[in-house]
Amino acid sequence: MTSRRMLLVMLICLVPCLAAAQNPLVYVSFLTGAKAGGTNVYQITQSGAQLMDTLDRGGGGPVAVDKQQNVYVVQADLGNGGYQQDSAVYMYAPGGTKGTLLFTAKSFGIESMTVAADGTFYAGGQVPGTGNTFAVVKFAPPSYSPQILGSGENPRYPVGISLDASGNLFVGWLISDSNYPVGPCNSGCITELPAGQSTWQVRLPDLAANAIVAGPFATTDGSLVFWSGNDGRFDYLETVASGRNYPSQVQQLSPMLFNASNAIIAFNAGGTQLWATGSGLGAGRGTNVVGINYPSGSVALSFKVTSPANLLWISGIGVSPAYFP
Amino acid sequence: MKSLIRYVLPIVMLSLVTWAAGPSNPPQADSSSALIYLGLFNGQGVDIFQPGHSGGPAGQLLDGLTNITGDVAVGPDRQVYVTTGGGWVVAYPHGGFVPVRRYQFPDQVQPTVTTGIAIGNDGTLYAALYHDGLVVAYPKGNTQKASLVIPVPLGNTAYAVAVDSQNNLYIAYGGSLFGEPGFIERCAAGSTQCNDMGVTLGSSGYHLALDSQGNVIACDQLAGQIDIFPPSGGQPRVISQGLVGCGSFALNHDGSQLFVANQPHDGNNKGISVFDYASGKFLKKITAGIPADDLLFGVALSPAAQ
Repeated sequence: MTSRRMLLVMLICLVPCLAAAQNPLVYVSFLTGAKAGGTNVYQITQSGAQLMDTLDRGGGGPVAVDKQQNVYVVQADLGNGGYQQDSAVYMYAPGGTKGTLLFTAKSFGIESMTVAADGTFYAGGQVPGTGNTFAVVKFAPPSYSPQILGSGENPRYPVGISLDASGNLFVGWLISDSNYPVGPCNSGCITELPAGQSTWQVRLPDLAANAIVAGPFATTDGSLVFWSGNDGRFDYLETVASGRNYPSQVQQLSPMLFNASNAIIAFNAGGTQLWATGSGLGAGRGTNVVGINYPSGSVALSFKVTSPANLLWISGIGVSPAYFP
Repeated sequence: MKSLIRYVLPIVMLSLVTWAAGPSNPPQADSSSALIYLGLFNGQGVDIFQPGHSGGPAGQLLDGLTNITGDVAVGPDRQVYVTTGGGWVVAYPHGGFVPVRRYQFPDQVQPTVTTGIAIGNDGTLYAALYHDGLVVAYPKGNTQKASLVIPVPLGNTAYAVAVDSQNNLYIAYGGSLFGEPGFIERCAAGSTQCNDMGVTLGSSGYHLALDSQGNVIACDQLAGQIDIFPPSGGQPRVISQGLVGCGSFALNHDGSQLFVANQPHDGNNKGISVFDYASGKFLKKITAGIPADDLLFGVALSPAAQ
């Protein structure tokens, strides 16, 4: 083998190896005012978490990280009643602190968001000023024109959204008033939009997905990973295997992690660690960010969000590199 | 190049092994030993005690529960059934913490309060619906429509239900207020025709049970005593040592011990009192981890009495 060919092979091997070995970054997006927010960037090392930077946008919703480790945050734009009005999505290149406006979802408060490998965004959220209208919307490049994949008054509050390797889309929902008290989503569920289809189906009804507050993540083996709980009473990390409708694994976590606020989660590349924190009211300065080993459920690291001083509440969390099935 | 492979390959293999070893079995509290389940009204959950586990409960059922309103029962497959807010009954698999089934009684008058429950050998749920004055039966796998609806005598409400191995039902009923007398009737399997057993309780508790001899075990909550009636009725044998109340109780698997939630009807529980069932002798008290100011609704043992 020539030295040139050997160098090429080594580079092919080393790039992913180095990527896997790099220190992960955890992004915590926060609100500081009705139209103002930011996003803290923490580098995770063996000695703990160090605040590296604070991005100048965020606070309006979730954080997403694409396969190239670009980071996407939603700028705060709260209107009457505290509802997010427009959702301007800003992109930050890996390591960058200068954001670029990618697109704005008009009259749509994004509450959950994921980015496909081709750069298409899928977002679940609420339409402000309509009472209780929720939607799942697709924003495909280059125009990022919204394409509504589903909308209605029920189910409500999309707590997570995820694509599997086949392009099936999964959305976690907090509640539903439809056909109460016997509807399948009354106390939480996961719905699925199979790839290439237009009809949603309930993938996991409200027993197995009871009290879901974050997720799901669709994994390579077809499992769904999500968080259910009522912080202050219980917090469970649940895994439902492919084709099953009851958890194959439930990890009980401390019920006192997030000051009785709803958990939000991010899943790292390789699926070995989840990062979780609280969100919304109750998730102010001092809220814990917890790194949880998966699937063991053991806590690897915990640190508090202590800045900025005017932080009102946390709205999103992301980890880079992120999980892609 | 060889050194690079030697360095990278183990890491790759280790990652694969770690991933493959991922999600596995459902959680198990302990599949081998007996478990005690105790329903807490204010705690909005069910504490799980493991004999030999010191310092309070070894776990809790919380997901899907609000106030525990009446009873806790364990089925032959060790699934755990809990009465909770909305009149619902929520079921959990043995060792599981996530609900697997929920009975919301959509074919009955809503809302209701479910008090006593029992599980038949075939997995049928029998539930005493307090406001409705009914005992209803839902066969295994059916949460939508009752296969049997038995109204208790007019002017009374249903408190507790027990089922024997032939699916004959025993129903404790009485006036809706504490201090009003309670009665027990026996209903042939699958029938709404019931015969009064001719026994009177000062006031009924929320649980009813049968021992292996067919004796009917009931709580006289007014007297604060367990009454054990012969199958044909008549004078009861009494267990009462140290009891101030007995609304919830359970026999252990072999019928040798009786576990009683020692609590008057208005609260101030004294924990769980354990008795030798044959002699009625007080054996021990379980109080560790039981909030003294909570209301105990439901005691069950897993595996359940045969």
